[in-house]
Amino acid sequence: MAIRSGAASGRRPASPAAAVLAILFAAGFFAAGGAAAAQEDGGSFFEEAPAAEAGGLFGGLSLSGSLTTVFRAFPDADDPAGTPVSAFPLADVELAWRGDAVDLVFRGTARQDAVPGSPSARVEEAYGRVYLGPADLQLGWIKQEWGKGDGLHAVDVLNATDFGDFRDYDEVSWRLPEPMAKLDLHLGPMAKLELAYLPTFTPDSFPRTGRWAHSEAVALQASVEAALKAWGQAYYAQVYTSTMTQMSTALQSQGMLAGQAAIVAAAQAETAASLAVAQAAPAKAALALREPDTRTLEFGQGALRFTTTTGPVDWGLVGYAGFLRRPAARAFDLYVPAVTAASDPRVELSYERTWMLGAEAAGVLAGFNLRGEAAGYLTKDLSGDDPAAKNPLAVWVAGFDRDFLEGKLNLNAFAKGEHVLVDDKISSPADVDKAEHYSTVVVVAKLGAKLLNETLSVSALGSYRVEDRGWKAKPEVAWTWKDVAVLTASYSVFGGPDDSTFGQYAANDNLALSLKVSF
Amino acid sequence: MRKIVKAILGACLCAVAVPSFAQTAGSSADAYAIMKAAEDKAAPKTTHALVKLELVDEKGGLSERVIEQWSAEDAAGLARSVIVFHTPATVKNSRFLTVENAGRDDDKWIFLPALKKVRRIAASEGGSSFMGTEFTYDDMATRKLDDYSYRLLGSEAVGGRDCDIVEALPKDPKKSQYAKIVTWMAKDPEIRLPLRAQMYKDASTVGKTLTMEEIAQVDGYWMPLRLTMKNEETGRATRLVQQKMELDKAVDERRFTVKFLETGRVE
Repeated sequence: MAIRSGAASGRRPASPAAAVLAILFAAGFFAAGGAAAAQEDGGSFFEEAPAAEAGGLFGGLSLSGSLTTVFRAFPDADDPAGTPVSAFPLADVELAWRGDAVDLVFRGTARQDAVPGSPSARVEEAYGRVYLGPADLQLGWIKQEWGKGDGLHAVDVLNATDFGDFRDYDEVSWRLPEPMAKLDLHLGPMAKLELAYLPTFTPDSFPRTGRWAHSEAVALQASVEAALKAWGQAYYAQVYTSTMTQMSTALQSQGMLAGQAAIVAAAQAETAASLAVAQAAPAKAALALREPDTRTLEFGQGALRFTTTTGPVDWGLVGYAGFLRRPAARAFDLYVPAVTAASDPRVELSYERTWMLGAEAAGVLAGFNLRGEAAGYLTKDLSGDDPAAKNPLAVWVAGFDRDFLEGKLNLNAFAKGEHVLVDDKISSPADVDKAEHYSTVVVVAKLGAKLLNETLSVSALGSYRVEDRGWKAKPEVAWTWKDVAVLTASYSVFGGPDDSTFGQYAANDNLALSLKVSF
Repeated sequence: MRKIVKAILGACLCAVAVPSFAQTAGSSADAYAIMKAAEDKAAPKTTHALVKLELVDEKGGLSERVIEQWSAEDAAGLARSVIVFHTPATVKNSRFLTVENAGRDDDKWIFLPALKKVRRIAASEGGSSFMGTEFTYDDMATRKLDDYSYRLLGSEAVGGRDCDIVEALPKDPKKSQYAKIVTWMAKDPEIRLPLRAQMYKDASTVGKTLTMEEIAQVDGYWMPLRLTMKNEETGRATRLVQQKMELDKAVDERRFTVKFLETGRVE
């Protein structure tokens, strides 16, 4: 993540998405409204059953979820976090009310970490869904995965990702809920048009401290601190030189006896103050690293997705007008030679507007479940020569899964590539796109076996990032008892160069045991 | 070519399911006629059933699942079937849609609520267990009459009812998870249900045995009310018990859509 020096533009991102989507909403709604009504049947036998038998509480209200106890041991003796074992309970509760044409859903998680006094609870989803014939409207905090890939995506644009606890690629739960209005128009048995308006924006979350601190975030923090230290030293040197000059001039003009003590005291006070400023500068890093307030309507986003089935292929198209979830960093007043105490050295993060067009497809060929996605993320720097703006980006995902040995063995393999376009125009070391690699590919493969009527599963997950040669491996065994409890044991190993995506967590190899009880 | 809605699980859920097969020489003509008669037997156009699955482990331990199934033919006579898992909590609201196609494999999709996502399933997964039961995805797929060749092995009573014993061999073994299927088909033309079937993993080893433990007339059709699929190798078994059933009643076309998979709603 390069830091670029520049002046504050004061520009606010425009929000054309709302107006565009308003038109699309209306057009789609009326198009779908012409669908013929189907002959109704007598409904579900199960839902006719008494509430307790059907798993409900009363009056359409249901409660479900799970309680999980997790133990993690980090055997690495050089573990910088110094916490060899963590244990925490995790509760996941969903309360839902199902009416004639309305669903209300609340799902939240609560977790007590190993660190005393640090309980955490968050709303995973909270939304209402209204069914309007061929359309249904969802409103609230929603998690919604888009794309045909398994865990890896190119067109999954609606939710940010929380990297606060490094997890596997196939997890959905690490997405952050996003407030949105989402309209689904069902245009046929397998055809659907989804329209989403997100009034605010949530960036991806990278921890800067702690066990799972992300190297890029740490590097950014470190570079800010280093820059501030340099700024402080320059400021001190400048003040010291100026003060000494002034003192010398005063002493020469006023004579050695007149006011000598006062002049020296003033000079000492001024240089001491500047030294204090200089010494405190690195500590200002937290304050100097500034993120925009994306909880404003200026950060509104719009997205649409059309999916359908043609013959043996499921396919879809996706459009998105929003923002890149990873920031660009620009520095202000950090490298200006003539600094003053009033200077405001800082690094501002910005989330740049993007327009994405993507496609997805899934089909079956020779027994392989083939899935793929591709997307182009356009930015305002289409020529790639603006060091202050992000270059356009191409992202693809391709992979498959296939059963072997009559379904007892399954191989799932996916690759994801990201390519910064027109990277040959990135020449300035301060370009926000400046990086070691402009094309990255990560490969994730999982070989799994389900035994004893799927009560015992054994798997091995491997991830490899081609450019930096970082890797992760995770063998896992899970045993399901009576369809209620799942006991899981896994061991995660991280490897590769220290600055690689996975290698940075080499001290975090861990053995995890969990017991999950669902209700 | 006419297809039938599944063979085994369908036999319980739909009563139109009979392993079906093609003609060869000698006694195979009789065998083919028996299977053809079973296939041609009047069958309901639609089904709706609530079924309890009892999963019995090798030590007799029991876990239960409740599923609900709707099936209906489309205007071209091709079958659609959707299954909803109601219990237990680990699989609740999982939904599975199968759409029969003319000239190619069935389309299959599954909705997994934990992922909030509909996922296409390949036909190659047919040999895998259906949600942890002794039934496989292929057990619920449609079968073509001419994909098998037949031989009449004799007759024997099952549960007090006379049956023809018919052996079915897949013409293309690569397309079948079983080396052969031997079926005890009720001789009574009114019934014409497979009262027992043995699925062979190779030429001489029985992999699984299906037994109709109770049959009865429902809405004018003979239907299995309780059947068991036993894995002869592991001793595990899955018992299907009909809890409620309707035949030839209207089934909302919207059951067989992505919307129903995702929401469980048709309105």
